[in-house]
Amino acid sequence: MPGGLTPDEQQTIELTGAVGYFEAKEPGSGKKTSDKKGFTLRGTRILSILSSLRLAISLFLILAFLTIFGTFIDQGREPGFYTSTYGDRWGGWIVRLKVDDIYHSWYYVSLLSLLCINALSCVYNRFPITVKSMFREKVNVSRDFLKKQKEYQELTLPKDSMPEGGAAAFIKTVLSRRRYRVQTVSDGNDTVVFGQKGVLGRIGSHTAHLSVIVILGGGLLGSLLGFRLFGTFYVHSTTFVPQGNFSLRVNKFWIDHYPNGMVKSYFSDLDVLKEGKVVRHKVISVNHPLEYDGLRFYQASFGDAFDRLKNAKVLVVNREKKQFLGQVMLPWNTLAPVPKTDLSLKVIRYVSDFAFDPKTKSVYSKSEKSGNPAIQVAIYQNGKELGTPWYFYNFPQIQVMKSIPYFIVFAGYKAPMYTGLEVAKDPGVKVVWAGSFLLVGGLFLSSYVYHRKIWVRIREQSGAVHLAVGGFGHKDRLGFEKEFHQVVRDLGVPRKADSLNAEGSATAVVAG
Amino acid sequence: MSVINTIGSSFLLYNTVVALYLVAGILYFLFLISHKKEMGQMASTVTFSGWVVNTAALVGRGLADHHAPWSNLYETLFLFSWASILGYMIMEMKYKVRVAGAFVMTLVLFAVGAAKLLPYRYQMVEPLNPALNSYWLKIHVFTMFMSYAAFGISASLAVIYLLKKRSESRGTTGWILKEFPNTDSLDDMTYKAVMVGFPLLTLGVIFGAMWAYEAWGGYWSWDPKETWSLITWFVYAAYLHARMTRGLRGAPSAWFSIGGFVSVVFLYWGVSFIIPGLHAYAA
Repeated sequence: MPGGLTPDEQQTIELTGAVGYFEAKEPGSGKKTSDKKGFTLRGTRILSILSSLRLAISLFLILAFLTIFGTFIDQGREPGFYTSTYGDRWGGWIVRLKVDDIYHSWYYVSLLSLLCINALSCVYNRFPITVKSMFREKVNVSRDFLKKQKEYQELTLPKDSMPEGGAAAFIKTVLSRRRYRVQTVSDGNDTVVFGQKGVLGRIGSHTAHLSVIVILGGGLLGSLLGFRLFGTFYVHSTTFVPQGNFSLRVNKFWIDHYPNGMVKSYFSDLDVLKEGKVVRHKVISVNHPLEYDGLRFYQASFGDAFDRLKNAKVLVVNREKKQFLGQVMLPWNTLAPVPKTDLSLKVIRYVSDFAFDPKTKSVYSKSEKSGNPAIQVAIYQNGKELGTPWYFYNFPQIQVMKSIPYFIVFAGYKAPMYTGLEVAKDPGVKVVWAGSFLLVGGLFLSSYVYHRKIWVRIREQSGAVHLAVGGFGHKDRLGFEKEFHQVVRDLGVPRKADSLNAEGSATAVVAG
Repeated sequence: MSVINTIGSSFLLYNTVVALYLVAGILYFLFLISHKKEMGQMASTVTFSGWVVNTAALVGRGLADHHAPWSNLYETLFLFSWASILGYMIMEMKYKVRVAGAFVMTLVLFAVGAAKLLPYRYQMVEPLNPALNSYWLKIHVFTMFMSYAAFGISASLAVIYLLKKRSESRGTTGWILKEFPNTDSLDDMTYKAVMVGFPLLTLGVIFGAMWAYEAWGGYWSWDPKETWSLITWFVYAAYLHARMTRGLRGAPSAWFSIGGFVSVVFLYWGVSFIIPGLHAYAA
């Protein structure tokens, strides 16, 4: 490494490959970069901290650590859940430290933002130097500079061993054979041959850094302007979707099974209606959503209705005589007479998991499961409504209305099936895919394409050719070391190398 | 066709794979002890035959199931072994490090051994549940397991590095560890394996996100499996950044790689068994 460089500058060389960039720098002249007129961020201390690797590594590790919590502690539950699960003390801390929704907490989001700033300032800081390293690397480097490189070797060869065209041309063929792009400059008595390859690998890390910002930007866009809603729909129902200003009609719903009875997939036949006209028709299933006007409808689930029935079976018993009078099948929301009595019944409500909210004094279904099925029945005697009590499938002994001379037992029911559709809009998703594409491209470039540079400084003196060979390999240190030594070996035996070349490339043979 | 179906859904090929890998593992260790070149060559040959049978087992399952042969835990373990051995064989050819086989094979034997210890109902050919029934299953899972294999190889090399380093610091080259390349090469190869794995992990997670967008309505749901893949990604991102300059080398780097692989194992097994979520297809 060139001497007299600050650790930050050495790091910059490693990261950008701009080996010659600091060559002219004298030891102790660190202020040179900030000599520019006017305000400039580049080279300031704050930027060097923000763009530092140390910060990046710390952020990755802190984020990894924090992310773990969210996988063990249920996210997004009500505060009471945490105190009842983890006790008052720990549950309280979980809520106070926002671990109950850690990925949206201010500190998690701040760390992600800081990571973006880190990536962005790294690009800002080093991209110009990278470009220099790729296209305007110093070719005419001194022997001292070469000596400071990781790989360095000196060779002395007799001049007459050089093939025709001279040493420079010979070195050029040796390097080109290994796919180096070669430049040559003359400097008085000396000639410098410079070759490099894999420059695209340099662009990789910058691309990856920028793409992270694109991906998070797309995510932000989606969370600000997008939504995900779940809805249950019934066959033959038409539902207005205000977010898209159209209606969705479910024509059909069915389930496919494997021969062993397992569910294979389930399907909903959907129409999108605009002003009464069908503008789109699609049969959706799991993994095959419908997209219309930026909104997507996913086949998410299916199940028995939790708020309506096809019909309910009730048993009627005489209260006083404990005498069974008969059973009636009550169609949903339709008045039906009970034989052998003067009663008519109508099922007006159904909940699959009965719950009562004392604040609003209303009944609702706690879940979509059939935890506590209940029906509300309007009871008519000779056309006059007596009341609308609730009856429970699991608790037939609960008979709220004492005024009528009958027990009514909720004995069975058939609920229609709903199709569970997820309705989602995410305007950021294309941005996320674009960012992902860049990220993968950038990572493959920076992980598989290695930037390598080799300089050969030639001095011809009294019948001998002195070569100073120095090189710099990015990332794949051992691979470069190996290649460097092979290059040196090739240079050291020009005649043999030349014949190798002739074998390798047909042109030489043909020309000869 | 029915013959293929019968072989594909039977355990004949899978059992052969386990047997061949076991023999190869023993041969690699014998090679370590005896330093006999022929032993090493034999180990490599058996490994290669095992891998061919492994390929056949995957293809057979695929034909019998009519879906990608990595749709449950049992099948993915054999995908892991397939990818690890493939990666190892490439490494063996390129870097002439036959001895590393002993350690990579140990890891693979843990995987296929675990597969064989699974309850019988988990080992069988099973039809796919609706969410898994997608071409993304082929792409996403395959890419993920290629990256797991690379990380597994990296961790195996890291273990060798640490053993070799320890024996060196005691002043002995180690009677067994003599065959191994020098610590510098091991260190570099550990890093390289991660460099192969990291872009694949990223690609695999992105494929997963694309699948989630097709199946669940959102590309990211903070489901435990997704989240652990992000944690693993953070860990290896930290590792790669730390390696970038000459900061992280040697033993700390080796431990870091092993730590990363612990995260992979948790992502693969821990999440399926400890934390329920959308990916809970194992049970």
